[in-house]
Amino acid sequence: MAPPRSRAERQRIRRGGARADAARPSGRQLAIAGFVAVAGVLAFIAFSGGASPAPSSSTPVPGVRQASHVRGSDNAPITIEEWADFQCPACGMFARATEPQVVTTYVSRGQVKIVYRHFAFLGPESQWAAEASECADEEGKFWEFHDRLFASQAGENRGTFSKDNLKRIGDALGLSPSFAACVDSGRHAQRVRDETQAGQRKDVRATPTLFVQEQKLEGAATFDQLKTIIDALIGAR
Amino acid sequence: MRRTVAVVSGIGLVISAYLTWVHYSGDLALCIGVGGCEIVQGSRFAVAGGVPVAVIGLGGYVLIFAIAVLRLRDEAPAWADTAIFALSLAATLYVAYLTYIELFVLGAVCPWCVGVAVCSVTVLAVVSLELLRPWRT
Repeated sequence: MAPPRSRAERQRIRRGGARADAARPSGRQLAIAGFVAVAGVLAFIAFSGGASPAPSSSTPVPGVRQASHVRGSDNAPITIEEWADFQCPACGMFARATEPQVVTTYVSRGQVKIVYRHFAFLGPESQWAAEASECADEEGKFWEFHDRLFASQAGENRGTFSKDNLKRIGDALGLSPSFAACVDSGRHAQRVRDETQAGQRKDVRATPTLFVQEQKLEGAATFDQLKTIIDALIGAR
Repeated sequence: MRRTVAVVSGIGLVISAYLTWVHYSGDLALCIGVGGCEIVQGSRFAVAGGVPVAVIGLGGYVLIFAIAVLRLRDEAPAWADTAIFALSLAATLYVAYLTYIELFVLGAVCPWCVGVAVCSVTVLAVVSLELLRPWRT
């Protein structure tokens, strides 16, 4: 019998023939391995609880001004301007994890103020949430509403920030009945659109975008990142 | 077929390494208005049992790729076939669960996660075809 002509053919014969017959796993072995794999995955999903627990609520940040969209003293020498969307999970991470530390460490000492700017670009519920935050601002509760929205995120444009839900959030915060009328009226729609366009003119392309004085940071900056910048600015004064 | 498994699992390895990097990179935790990766990675489902899902994927693909490369050798041990079948089956089941979470709980789909899912299903399909088809004579 003539030897195989090509290397591929020799390999094919080796793998498909002699080696395979001797070394390939039996159906029983594969069935056991499959059972172990299925059981392992199911056990892991069950053991891990499907997911880590959701944060229960945001921690109210003390010592801040209620009026307007400025957190802290107008006289604070350093300004962090945040462009954000209430539906953006990264903005939520920043609001829940980093911002409270900045407030505790710098804002409460009058060194830093945080200015919130709307960049409502992730869909209709971003726009409605931003408008509703302006309605809350009419009653001096912008930041409480801001914190509650970021604590309530659950997917984009899936009804979480429908007008009805926004009214419920307002109710829970003790806002007056005129808040609901304000949400329905859309009277802050143009302001939100104008501010989003102003962000685009300022070259904001993603959220959150922070300007620490003139320094631009894209993404959910960590407290350590901000601390480095803020300490350097304080030291330079 | 073994080469296909090695190539596809290599792609899965690269994507899961990228997702792990994204998970640990604060600079990339931002919303750019397209795709659902920021929602998926920012969700509470991004961590399972205290371990980031991206890291679980990376660990799984390191194993699958290593075994796939081992199987390219003529003298590959028999356990390699059984192991890659079990691992690719486990990977496929887990990505199926994660895809369900993306579609029906988060309402957002991360294209990179879909890439990992496609790699897992492909590896399982090719390995199954290879191991379960009738012997050639």
